[in-house]
Amino acid sequence: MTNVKIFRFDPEREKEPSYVTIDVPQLWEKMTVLDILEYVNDRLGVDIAYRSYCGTKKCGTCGVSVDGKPCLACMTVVRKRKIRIDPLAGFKVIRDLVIERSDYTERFLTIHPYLVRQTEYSDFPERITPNEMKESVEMKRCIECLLCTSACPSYKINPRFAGPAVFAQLGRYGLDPRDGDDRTRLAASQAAHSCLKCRACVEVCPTDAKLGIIDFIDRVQRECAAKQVVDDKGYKSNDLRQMLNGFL
Amino acid sequence: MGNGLTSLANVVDTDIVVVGSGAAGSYSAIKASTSGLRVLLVSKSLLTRGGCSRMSGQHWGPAKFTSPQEIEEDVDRNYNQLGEQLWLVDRKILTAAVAYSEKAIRELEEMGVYWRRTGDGTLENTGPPKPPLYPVASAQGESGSHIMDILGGQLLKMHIPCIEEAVVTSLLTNNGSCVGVTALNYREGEFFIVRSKATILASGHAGGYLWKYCTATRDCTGDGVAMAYRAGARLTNIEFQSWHFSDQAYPESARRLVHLMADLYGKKEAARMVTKAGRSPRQEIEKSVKTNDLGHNPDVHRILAESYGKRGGLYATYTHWKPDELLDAYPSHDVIVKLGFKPSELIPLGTSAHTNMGGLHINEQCETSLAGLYAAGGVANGSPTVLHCLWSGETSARSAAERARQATTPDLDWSQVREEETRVSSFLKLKPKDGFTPAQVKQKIREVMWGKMWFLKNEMDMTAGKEEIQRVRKELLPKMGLVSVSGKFNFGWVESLDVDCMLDVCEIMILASMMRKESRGTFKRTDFPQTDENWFKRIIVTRSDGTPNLSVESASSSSGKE
Repeated sequence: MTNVKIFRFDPEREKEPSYVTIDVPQLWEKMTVLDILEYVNDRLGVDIAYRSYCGTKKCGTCGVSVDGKPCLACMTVVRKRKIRIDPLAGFKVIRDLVIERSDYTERFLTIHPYLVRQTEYSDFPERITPNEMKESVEMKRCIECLLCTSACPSYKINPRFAGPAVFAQLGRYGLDPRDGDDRTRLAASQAAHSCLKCRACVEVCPTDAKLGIIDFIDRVQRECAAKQVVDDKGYKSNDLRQMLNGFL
Repeated sequence: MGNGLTSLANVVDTDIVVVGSGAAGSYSAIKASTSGLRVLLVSKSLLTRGGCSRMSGQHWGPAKFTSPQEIEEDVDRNYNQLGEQLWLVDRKILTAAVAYSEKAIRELEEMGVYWRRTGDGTLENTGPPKPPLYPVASAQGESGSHIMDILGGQLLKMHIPCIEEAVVTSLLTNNGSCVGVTALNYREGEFFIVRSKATILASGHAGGYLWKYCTATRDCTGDGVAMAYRAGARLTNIEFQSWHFSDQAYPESARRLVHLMADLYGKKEAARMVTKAGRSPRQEIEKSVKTNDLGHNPDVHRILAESYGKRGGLYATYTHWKPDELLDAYPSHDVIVKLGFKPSELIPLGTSAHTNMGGLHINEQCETSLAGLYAAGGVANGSPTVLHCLWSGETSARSAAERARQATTPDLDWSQVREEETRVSSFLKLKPKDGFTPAQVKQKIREVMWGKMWFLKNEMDMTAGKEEIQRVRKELLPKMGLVSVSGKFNFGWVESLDVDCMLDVCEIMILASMMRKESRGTFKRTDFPQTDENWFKRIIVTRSDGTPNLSVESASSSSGKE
């Protein structure tokens, strides 16, 4: 039996969030947080709003916070007798466990989330080796679940910093040998220099994108510094980092 | 809006509306917008994140053909493997989809899809050892995710307007033509109307989520098939549901995880299937079926079903792999690792409902029987593959664009709009004390289907299933209501609409299954175990006077099998 406390909030009707507490039996071995959400809704009729489509770490929509830690509901096996499920921290709540993703989506729209070929596509099959694609392929495994952004201390205090998820997406194209876009400038426009490289994102990432995210950000930071790329507010690289160091 | 629906003034005008953002919907929107017409895409899920396309492990089509004959051979090989039922699809459709593969693979690569290479840069083959070559996007098991990310990027690159987290509730008709859709933007709790010169339905197949255990995603509740049926379109082959016998048994919410019992890259078994005692059922299977694919072959499924029943009692093991090599070849395997299964542990397998082959009856132009309505992907009758989605996505876009260029903005039938608005708003009500939430009713429906409409069917079970579905409609529906009636992201509201669709689709599916007095491909009846060539026919379902009307038509004139 697991004692589960689930966050409830309907901002349209309620002033304050509350929790609903339910005892959930051990349904089977390796029961996940998603199993619990399905049980309380489909069996008990509690009607908690949550996002989830696939249940197998592909859709990237079931991110929640379990006992304060960002995780995917579908990949988190419940081993404790008591857990608390909250919406992902750092985002506005639309309802219950459903978060507002628009800050991510709006930034995503501006970073050219597609391949911008440096030379025209020649013919099928193009000349490319798995070695050349390795780094990009790792970043392509990012499922945009936003756990990293939720865990990021810089994102929390710096509204101009896009958060790691946006950089993972920039990385998937920026590290693709076929891409010719100025990903460094795009990274600078999202305040890449505010990354502290604290690796909080790496720790929570459920995919292979964690393998390259810090290296990619490090690379764009160095390129920003070398090219003296100035972001839209006039900060040079590392200025903000120094400012933030005072807070952390 | 807070409570209730917006005014009828909320009409969006477009040339073409696309319903769904899976492979078929995204691709058709991309193709349609290159024609210079106004395209609007409406997606029930977050853009490109719902539906089956993202779940697809392979692309299912060859990279190059050297002759037209090779295309025909590939049609035969492909569909013999997936099951006899596919020969009921018009051969022209099967051939056109397979032939499209060459173009699709090239075009996807141009957009940025990385087809997996071996060390020296040659394309890796996931198909038979002989040509044609079957490439895989990114890696085995993750083709769908990779292709969907690339298609999603193209939608944004082309600035195609998309409304996500909005469920289309009905197809609007006027004077026998489809003139648009009504939709509920559940993110905001707003009802809106799209008036269009052409409508492309790409909302996914009708199977899957109707059953307790399924590979379909949570959003796939057969909406498209139900809406088309209500709007008067012809449905066909809806009784042909395919099954998996090698999916993750628990955790149950991870049931969509498929353990591919096929050879990987033609070299090595992905997973070995064993009993708890470690014995392989392969010998037993190979007595009557010759295949290297234990994952898809319906005759393999019959043998397993007869021996092991619903829960399988079978396990997957990967001990023949070195862990690193396994993760490199099949990266999705890390889900198993994440769920805490040790490499030596037997992974319990279960049965689940997979794709449905039937749907809207289309011709090779992807036209449905309703003027102005086109269907692409799983919602249409055809093979349930990403390849079929891409071919039908492109074809429906071309046909819809042709119509939209010639048509003027259609008039709406306002009484129909008001009626639909009333229906949608009627679900936004509190549940009575002894009532049920829509999620509970859905669960009930899924249990009935699992109990009475499983892979092995018979007349008695299906009759009982039909009665139980009718009872759900009569007794549970009046007691169904929500925990809250606020509008924003009230997912229970969406689920109420899902229930209404699921009940219609279940009823049609049961009736069609009862009508077919034989077994064929994935359709297995224990009371009619043989394939009967007199039944080489399609069952057509239409709606007349509010009830399903079933008829049969011969498939021989346009037979899939040559």
